[in-house]
Amino acid sequence: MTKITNHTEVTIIGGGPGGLSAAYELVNQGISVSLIDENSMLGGQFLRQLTPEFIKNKKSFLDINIKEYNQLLNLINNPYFIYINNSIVWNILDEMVVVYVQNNQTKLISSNYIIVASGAYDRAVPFPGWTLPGVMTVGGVLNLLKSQLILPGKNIIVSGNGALILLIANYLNYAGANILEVLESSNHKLNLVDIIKLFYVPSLFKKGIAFRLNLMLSGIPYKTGEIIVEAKGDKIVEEVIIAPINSEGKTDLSRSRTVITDILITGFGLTSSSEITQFIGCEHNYNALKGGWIPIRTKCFETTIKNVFSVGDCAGIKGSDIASCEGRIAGITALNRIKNNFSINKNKLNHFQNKLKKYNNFQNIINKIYLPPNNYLSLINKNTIICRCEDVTYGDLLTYLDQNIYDIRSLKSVSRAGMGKCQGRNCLGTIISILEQNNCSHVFDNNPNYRPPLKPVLISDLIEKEFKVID
Amino acid sequence: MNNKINLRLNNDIYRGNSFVFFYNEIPIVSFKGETISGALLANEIKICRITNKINESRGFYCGMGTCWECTMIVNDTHSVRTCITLCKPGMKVKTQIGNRID
Repeated sequence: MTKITNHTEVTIIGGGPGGLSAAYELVNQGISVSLIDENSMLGGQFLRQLTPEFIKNKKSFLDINIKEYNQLLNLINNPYFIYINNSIVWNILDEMVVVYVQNNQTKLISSNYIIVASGAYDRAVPFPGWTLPGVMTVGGVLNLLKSQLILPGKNIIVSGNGALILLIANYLNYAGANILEVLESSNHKLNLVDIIKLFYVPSLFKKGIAFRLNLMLSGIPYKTGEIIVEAKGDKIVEEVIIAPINSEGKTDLSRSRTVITDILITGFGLTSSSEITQFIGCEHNYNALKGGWIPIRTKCFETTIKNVFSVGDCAGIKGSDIASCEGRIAGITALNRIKNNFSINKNKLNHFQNKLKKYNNFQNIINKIYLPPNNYLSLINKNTIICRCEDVTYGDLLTYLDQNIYDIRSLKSVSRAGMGKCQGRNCLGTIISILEQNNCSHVFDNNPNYRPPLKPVLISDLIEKEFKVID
Repeated sequence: MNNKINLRLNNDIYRGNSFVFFYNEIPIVSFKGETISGALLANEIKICRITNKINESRGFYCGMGTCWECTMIVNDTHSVRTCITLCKPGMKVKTQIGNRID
C-alpha cells in the first residue's frame, strides 16, 4: 500500500453543513484541515451544488438553501483548507490514520483530531413493490434535481413523513413537475401549545408555513393520515395503492384506492451513517427513531474516543441547522485544545450552545407532530423483499426465526440479508424491527461488526499501480 | 396525467455540450455534467439491473451511492453505480444481469 502522503492537524470526513462548519472554525484560525468527501463538490446532500458544467443565468429555486451557507461553501478558497473530493474512506488505522480511495488509488492521511460528519441516507422502508424501478427516495430525487435539474418522471406521488417530503414537494413544484398527491402519514393536529413552541425558531416555522402554502396555492393535494401500501407494475411502477391510517395507527385497507403514476417518492426519515464511529470503537446506542446506531457524545460532541468527534446527522437525525451548530462547537473545542487555550472562544461557544438548545426544542416539537407510523412492518407480506442486494424476503427471514435464530448477526449469516454490496445499509433497520416484533429478547446480543472496507472498493484500487496483475 | 413535461429542466439554465452514449447499443443524447442514471431517467429509461436470484428489475433508488441498485455494466466494468458516475461521450452502458460478467 502507498505510504502516508499527508499530515494535517485535523481530518474531517464529510463535506456537508456539519463538516464544513467545523472546518470553518479551524481554518479561519490558521489550523490546517483536510476534508475528505465522497462528492465532487462541497455541500453534502443538503447543500448539493449544481454541476459546474451547467450555467445558471439568474436566480432560481436552487438558491433557497445555498444562500445562507455561502460562507461555508467559500471555504474552498481558504489556503488552510485541503479539499479531498471524490474519495471513499474505507479504513481507519491506529494513531488516527484515515485510509481512502481517490482516483483509483489508496491514500493515507494522519492527523491529531478526526471529526466525523458523514451524514445520513434515506431510511429504507419496505412495502410490496418497493423494489420496482420508479420507486425512489427523497434524497435521491433531490440530488437529481439540485445537481442536474432532471425530473425523475412525468407523474409523481410523494409518500412519507415529516419535513423532508414537504421540501421535496416544493422543489418539484418549483421545477414544474406534475405532482399528483403528497401523502403525509401523520395526522397529528396542531394545538396552541405546539404552535407557541414552534416560535423557538421563527425562521424555520415561517419556512414550513410557506412550504404548505405554496403547495396549497399550486393546487397540489397534501393529504395527512394516508400512506402508500403497495406499488404495482410489470417491471416498472405503473400504479400505487394508497390507504388511510386510522386513529389506532393501523392502515385501513378496506378504504384503499389505486392511483396511476410512474414515479413514487418515499421519504420516511433518515438513517445515520455512523459506520465510521462504530468501526473505530466509539460506544453507540440503538434508537430507530433517531436514526439507528447513535454514538454517545459529550456536550462538545466528542465521542467516547478522545479527539474523535461526531457531528450532524451521522450522530442522530436532526437536520442541517443543528448539524451546523454541532460542527461549530466541535471545531471550536478542537481549536482550543490545539492552541491549549480554553478561554478565547468562550462567548462564541455559549452562543452556539444556546442556539443549539433552541433548534433542539424546535426539532422535538416537529418530531412530535410528524411522529412516524408505528406500523411500518404491517405493510410487508411474506413475498416482500427485505434485503434488496441478496433478494431475501420477509418469508425467508421468518423461516430462520422458526429455527431459533434470534440475533442480528446470526440472522445475517444464515439468510445473507445484509451481506450484499450495500453492506446492510438498506435492510439492517428492518431486520432489527423484525426481530423486535417477533419478541426476540436477544436482538442486540450479537451485533454486526463493521470491518474494512467500510464501503465497497475495487481490488485494483487497493494495490500499488506499479504491480500489474499477471493474466 | 401529464405526458408533455420535458424531464430536463431548461428554464434559466444553459446546459453544456451535448453528446451521445450507448444504452444497450441504443444511442442516447446526454449533456456534460449529467450522471448516467440522470441521462437515462431523462430519457424515461428506469431499469438498470436484473437481480441474480429472482430476476427482478431494479433501478435508481437512493440516488447517492449507498444502495447499489442502479449498478450497470459501463465500458465492460461491472457494478458501476450509475447515480454517481458521470456520463461520457461514446460510453457503452449495458443492463447488468445477475452478479457476474458473462
